[in-house]
Amino acid sequence: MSQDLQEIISATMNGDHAAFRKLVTMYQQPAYRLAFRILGNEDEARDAVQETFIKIWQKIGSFDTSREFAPWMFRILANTATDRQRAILRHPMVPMDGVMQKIEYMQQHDQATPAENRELAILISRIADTLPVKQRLVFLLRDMEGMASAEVELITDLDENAVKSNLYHARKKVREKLVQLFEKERNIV
Amino acid sequence: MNCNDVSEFLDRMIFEEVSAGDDLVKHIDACPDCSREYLDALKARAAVAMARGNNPELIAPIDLTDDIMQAVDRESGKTAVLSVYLAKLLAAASIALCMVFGYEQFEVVRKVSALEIQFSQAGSGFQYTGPARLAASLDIRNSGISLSKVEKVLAAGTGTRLASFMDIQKRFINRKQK
Repeated sequence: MSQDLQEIISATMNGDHAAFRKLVTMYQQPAYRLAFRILGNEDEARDAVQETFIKIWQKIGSFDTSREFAPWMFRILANTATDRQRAILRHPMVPMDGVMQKIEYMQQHDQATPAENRELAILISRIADTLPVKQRLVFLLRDMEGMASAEVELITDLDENAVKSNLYHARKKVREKLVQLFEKERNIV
Repeated sequence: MNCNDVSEFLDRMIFEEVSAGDDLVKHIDACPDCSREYLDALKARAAVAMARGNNPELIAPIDLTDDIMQAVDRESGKTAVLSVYLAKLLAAASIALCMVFGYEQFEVVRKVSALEIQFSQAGSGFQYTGPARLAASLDIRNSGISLSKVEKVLAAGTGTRLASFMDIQKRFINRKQK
């Protein structure tokens, strides 16, 4: 942990609001991104991040300063967002039109418009919604957020083998769902 | 090498970029089903990778920090109100002990005071330093103890009845001193 971050956390532990504001500013973006991945909804993501930082403010006294802050924060966020997600009535998965063509176009042109990226993110998020909780979280952290396995282990509290196993099953299911969409499009074309 | 082996290894090969052995590559080349599965897996990987990219929805709203800080202030406020209430109750109880049982209860006041600090810290993450807290920690051994100040604090909230009780006590003490 950097010296700066350590000082900010120590000050926050002493009730310093200005220091806590710095902490929020530093981590709100990755927190929001992960919350959006989990919840697939801007308002829910915003509320989950807010709830997470309130919990952090209340629990900062119990934070072990010899450990890294980010995994601790992400663990609180993942639990908060997952609890919220359980409570939300999920919409049934609606396949995106022309997903295969869009992906092929993106591969050929090595870019996608924000709207296409958005559609794709929503599609993957809906597919991920169908996974069991642990598989979903591991998949989102590892493949969608690009975190290292060690980080995923810390956040999810799973050991290396459990992370591998959950990731294997999650990827397989995501791939199968996408392939089903590809097949459907092939049949239409 | 058969189709099951390919299926087993495919995700690691695609997602983890683990290099495939020659046998596997040969099988994928020769088998139309595995070839198609491989291409589909590549597309799936591409879809995941592209969905990972930043897009407007994944950028935190600009007012999120302010929202969070306001929410934290609200939560702190709630806890602080509770802390003040607890502090007043404890202060009232401490002073009552002092008045009724005298000087030897001073240590009790100190302990209660320490407990009160713990309460406020555990509840809100910051130390409550309001008037009731100060009143509770007044050194009653000093003759200059400002009972009127204590009464004022207590009368403002939960200790109204105790304040009137203390008023009687004070008048009694003053009469005795004269």
